[in-house]
Amino acid sequence: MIRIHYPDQNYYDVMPSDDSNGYVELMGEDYVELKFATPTYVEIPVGSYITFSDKLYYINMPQDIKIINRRNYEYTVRFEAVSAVWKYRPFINPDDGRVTFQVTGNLSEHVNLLIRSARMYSGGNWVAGTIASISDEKCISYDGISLRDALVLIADEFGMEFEFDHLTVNVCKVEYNASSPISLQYGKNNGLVSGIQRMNYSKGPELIGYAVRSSSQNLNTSSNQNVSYGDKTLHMPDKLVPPAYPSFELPMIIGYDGSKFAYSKNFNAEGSSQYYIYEEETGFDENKAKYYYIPVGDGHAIYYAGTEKLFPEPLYLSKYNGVRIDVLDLTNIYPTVTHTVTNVTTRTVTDDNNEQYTEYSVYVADNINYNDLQIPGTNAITIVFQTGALAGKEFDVNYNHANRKFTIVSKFIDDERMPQGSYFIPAQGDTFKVFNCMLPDDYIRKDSDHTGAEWDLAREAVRQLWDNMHVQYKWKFDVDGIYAAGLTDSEFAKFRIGGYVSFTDPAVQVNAVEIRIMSIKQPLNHPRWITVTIADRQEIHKRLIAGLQAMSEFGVNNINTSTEINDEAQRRSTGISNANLRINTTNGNVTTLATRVTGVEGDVAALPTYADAYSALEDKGGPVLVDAKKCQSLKYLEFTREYASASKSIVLNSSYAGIETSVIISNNSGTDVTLSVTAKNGEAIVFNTADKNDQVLDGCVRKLTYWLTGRTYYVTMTDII
Amino acid sequence: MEKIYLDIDGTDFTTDYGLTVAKGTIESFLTYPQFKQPKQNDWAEYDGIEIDLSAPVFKNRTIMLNVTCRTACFNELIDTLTDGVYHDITFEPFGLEFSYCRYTSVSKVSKLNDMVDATINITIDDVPFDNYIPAVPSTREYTGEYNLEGKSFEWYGVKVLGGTKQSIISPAKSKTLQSKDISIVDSVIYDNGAVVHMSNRTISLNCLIHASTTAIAMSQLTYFMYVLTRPYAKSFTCTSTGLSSNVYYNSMKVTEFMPGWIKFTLNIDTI
Repeated sequence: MIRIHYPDQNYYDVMPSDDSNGYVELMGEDYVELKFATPTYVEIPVGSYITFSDKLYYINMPQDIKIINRRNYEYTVRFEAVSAVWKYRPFINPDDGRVTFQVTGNLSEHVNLLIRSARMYSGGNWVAGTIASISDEKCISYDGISLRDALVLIADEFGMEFEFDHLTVNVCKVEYNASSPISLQYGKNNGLVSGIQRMNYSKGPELIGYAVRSSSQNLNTSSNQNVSYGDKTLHMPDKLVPPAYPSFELPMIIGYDGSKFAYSKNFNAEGSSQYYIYEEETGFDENKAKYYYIPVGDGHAIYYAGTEKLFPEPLYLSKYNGVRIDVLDLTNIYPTVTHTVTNVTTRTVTDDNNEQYTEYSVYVADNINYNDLQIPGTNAITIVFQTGALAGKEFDVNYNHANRKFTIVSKFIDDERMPQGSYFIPAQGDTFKVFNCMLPDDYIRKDSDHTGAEWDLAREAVRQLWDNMHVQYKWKFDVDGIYAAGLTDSEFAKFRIGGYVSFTDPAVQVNAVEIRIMSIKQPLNHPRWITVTIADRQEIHKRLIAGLQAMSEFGVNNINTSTEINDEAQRRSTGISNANLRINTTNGNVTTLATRVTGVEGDVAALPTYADAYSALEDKGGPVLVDAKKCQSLKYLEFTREYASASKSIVLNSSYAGIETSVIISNNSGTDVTLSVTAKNGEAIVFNTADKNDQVLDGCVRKLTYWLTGRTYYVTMTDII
Repeated sequence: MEKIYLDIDGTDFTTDYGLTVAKGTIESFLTYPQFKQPKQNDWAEYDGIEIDLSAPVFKNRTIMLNVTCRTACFNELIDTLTDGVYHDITFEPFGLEFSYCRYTSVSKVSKLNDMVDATINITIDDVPFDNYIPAVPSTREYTGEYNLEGKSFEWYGVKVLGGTKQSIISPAKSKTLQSKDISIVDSVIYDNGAVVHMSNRTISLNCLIHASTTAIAMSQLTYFMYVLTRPYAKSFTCTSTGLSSNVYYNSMKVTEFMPGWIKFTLNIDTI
């Protein structure tokens, strides 16, 4: 018997049918599908809840009902875990109310921002629980997505997982019982019944190598052999010249144990056995290690070479079928150095238009003379701030090596000069990287301590190969309920999402695989007869991300999972620009019947709900002032208008100068007419529809789409003539 | 044969309407329902099955009420049984009481002049042994050929009749292993290297309870069935055949009822 608690403290007891189940999966669904029948109709109100497996599950949507007859009503009611509300609430920036924004920060900062947003909604005192300690900062674009989808994005960006423990959100690797996994295999008293399925979800045959796509960033690839890097793009260290045999050129071998590396550094050719000699990182575990092979003179390829340490042979030489070699994109790795700003100075200068502005210079302590490192034929060196208020923004600079000074060439970003004001300025402690320059050789390859971009490239290729080379399976099986009934409650509790299972099969999986539980299906009437899926985490993770991208393709969301820091990146505390766009209908013959927007400047600074925006605009009853910045979240603006005469002009007053502005007028048959104009500061833009193909448009519902070119926000108006 | 009085919802149809309860009715009402199929594993690598008998539950059952009565009585009987879902049915003088009886159908009906012979199918949703207080039938130790839970069947008051041993000595079916039945190949391709394992099987016991009174016979039957249907497997032995097995209740059917005399067929499944 299951007791359904109503929001009003009443309750209703039902006997679940045998096909009622609880489902839970890692970073996915967590719900109970309760099926039952009643002889009289019972309305189970939204907000009702049940307790199942010591957790609360709520109804968020009205139940499905099947009327069999007047004395037989069948119900399918979905009770969702408390965390489900994250699917039904947008991620709103708690600082400014936007739903489209970018944030650069570490994992904890992203999660805490999300928690703050979640707490804006009543009923959820959400708290951050275990958050993996990842100091790397990522720039993530959130564009009108739910809290849940935002959490998926964050987890994906940082390579983490998440779970909800009632109102606590953990973002980390969700794993339990790693040291004491449940041992399972098919058979009586072994835990699993007939029907175990192994499903291969690898991209193809076993991966044994990569052809690495690399970057030409910060390399001199010119034909001048004196200064040229000697390759079009960055390559991995592609040969070992053993100190003992300087005439040898041997393949470079790198060992990896999943955490630590070992680098071939010498070779022994004496006696009958020849072998490599390695320099190992502290803690390198030979027993776990695998070895990887970079062919002589081909630093763009790397191959798995087995577990033999002394003289590894790449697998591609001995295996032809059943293996594959992929392309690996590592263009994000290039010679680079991160400078920390030690001081900032300013001076007032005048531009070509005789406008005065503040010029900023930043100082660093590092002794690299960029004046000697400019790549011939390229533009000025640039810097990209990695932290601080200008994080993600790129500027041309003039470098003065005498005092290690980078003078920033200001530029307009979003029609605003930067750096400027009190916020968008560099500060002591900010960090930045330098581009469009060569870097000293040590930043490219330094063998003494295996640093530099080439070693970074090799290590990342090895890591990727280590992670992806094994054929990936997921296993699905039914747990033997008789076996499970014999477990204590604490033992059975190990069947939980993220719980490790040590699975073996004397024929199929001789060596135990220890992988985690990804999903559990639990019948309500036979709670120990569960169905479990164990898999590599990537499978579910990729599916979630793919789902988000699919939604994006259909225009539901615009997901940007790029970690690349670009000019759009903003710190979340960014002040909102004052640039306003005034949409004003000055035609005296126009009567506004109804207007709807999702964002209106002035009256509603941060719009928590669509309804608020709607009523706010209705109250205005006429011209609408739209803050273009705040309306990044604007999905559409609908005007229903009635024209009393043939005059059909719309005037847009814009203070957002210099931006090309367009209006699309559509008729019912889908014919679009585009009018474009460049907005001028404070001047009205008149779109006279009578000038444009009015015959096509006359007498039909017209949709006018207004947007600022190159931006994501726009306004749509529907005019009825 | 004692006269049987049928009372439905307080109406004594035997006394008030002259209804006669025909043969087969008490047998039907004394028959116990089957278990709902317990969760089980049928391991190909083992003989028999592994079954969860920790909390067995009964099915409901449909029994036959055979009556002979006048047309008016028959009409009244049907009206009574169809007035609402559940009805109380009592058979006296046996004290057989059922509280959740619902009319299903009339499967046979014949009419001669004003007399109607009919078989009315009644579904009983009563749960056996509800509020039952076990009463040990005997303190005397019996030894016998057949034993349940370490007690001879005689101890329960149950005699095992002839014809039972055939069932006991009949071997079970073998489990079907990998068998490939391919449309372009004659016959089937069977796994020749596998070990043959046997399925579980059903043993049919022809039983008789013969007591000095019907009440004692019914009491003995009730206790015997009570023991047999408690959770977990039961030990069963037949000394003359050497069978010793864990079994669980499958079904029973009363085939003959007379005062102090209950003959029934009991099916038990090996594990």
